[in-house]
Amino acid sequence: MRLADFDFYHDFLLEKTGLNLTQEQAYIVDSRLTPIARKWGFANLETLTMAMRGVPPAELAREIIESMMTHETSFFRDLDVFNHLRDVTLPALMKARRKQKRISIWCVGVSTGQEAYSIAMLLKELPKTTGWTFEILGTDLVQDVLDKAERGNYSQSDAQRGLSIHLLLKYFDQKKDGQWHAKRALKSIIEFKRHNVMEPLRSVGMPDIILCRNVLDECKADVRESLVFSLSRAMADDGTLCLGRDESADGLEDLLAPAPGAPGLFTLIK
Amino acid sequence: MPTCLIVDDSHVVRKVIKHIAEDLDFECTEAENGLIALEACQKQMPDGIVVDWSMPIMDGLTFIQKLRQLPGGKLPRIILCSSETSTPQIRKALSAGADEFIMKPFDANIIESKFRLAGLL
Repeated sequence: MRLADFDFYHDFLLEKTGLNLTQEQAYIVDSRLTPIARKWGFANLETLTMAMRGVPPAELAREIIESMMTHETSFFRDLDVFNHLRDVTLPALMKARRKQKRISIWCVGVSTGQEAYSIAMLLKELPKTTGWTFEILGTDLVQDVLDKAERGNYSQSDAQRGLSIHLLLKYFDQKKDGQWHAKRALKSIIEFKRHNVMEPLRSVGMPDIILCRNVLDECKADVRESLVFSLSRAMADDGTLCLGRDESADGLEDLLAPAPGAPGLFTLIK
Repeated sequence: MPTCLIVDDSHVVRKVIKHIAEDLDFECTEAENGLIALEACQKQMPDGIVVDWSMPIMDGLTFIQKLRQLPGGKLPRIILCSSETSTPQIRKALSAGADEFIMKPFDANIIESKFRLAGLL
């Protein structure tokens, strides 16, 4: 791929998604955009790029953005994070919300939904939750993965990654084709919605916990800092922000304090 | 170093699981059916057992039931593997004393995940 074309997609994706591609990833751009060029009737990637430099159809721009996103996820990914939420974060939050009896959680970059369903199972397994309302919002930029999340159907292979057999039997129904389908008990507390984390966060309310794990790690440092700042301001004052276990809150040390014993978890400094 | 007993009548499957378990820092031993595995456990109880359901001489389900009745037999964490993956079959395995269940086919990620879920990691 020509350097000028790579530079164009680098800037385009940085502006639209915060994704900061490196030149070593040029081959990924090439391999993912060439089929899109063919699908849209362009002779090659160069002519697609020429069209993109003009006023491209919104649908084409969306396809290009979506093709560059990664969707790696699994149930209870980084189990120690979920254990910390179960044993420390949620009990403290439930104590603080004992009058409202309502907890809301936002999963940013929810991909095909495993993280949202994992949180739903975690909440369902908590003791003494009669009368409580739990709301989980799962958002992603890519409609196709959200559609899959909404359906809640997982292959045998996906259903075995991170999910114990006990929870699988309790919260999923086995279909004739071997897929496992999330039960209504989980689906009823999750809403999936298309949202670009680069856009204003007004529509997400004020969640008590925000999970944005391994979503921003490929963003440019200043974009990342700005997004983590926005997420911090969007959550409840006593809320918890979960980034990836190896992600830090660089530049926001005055705003966010790491939760002891839980890599990637942060609370607001009061 | 934690120990893991791998029980399967297929030499190839034992080799594959052994390779994965050794990468997870387990010291592995092998048995080709439930009866041999039971004898091995009576000599030394492993920390974890990965056992196939369908085997000649003694199948995985019978092995688990007998093992759980031995002195110290409740200690090992047991992962039962099977290509019989209907919900009633899985429930039967758990009732017999399996801690986790792997639906075949599997890969290294699934094995590692199940080791973790069974409390072996």
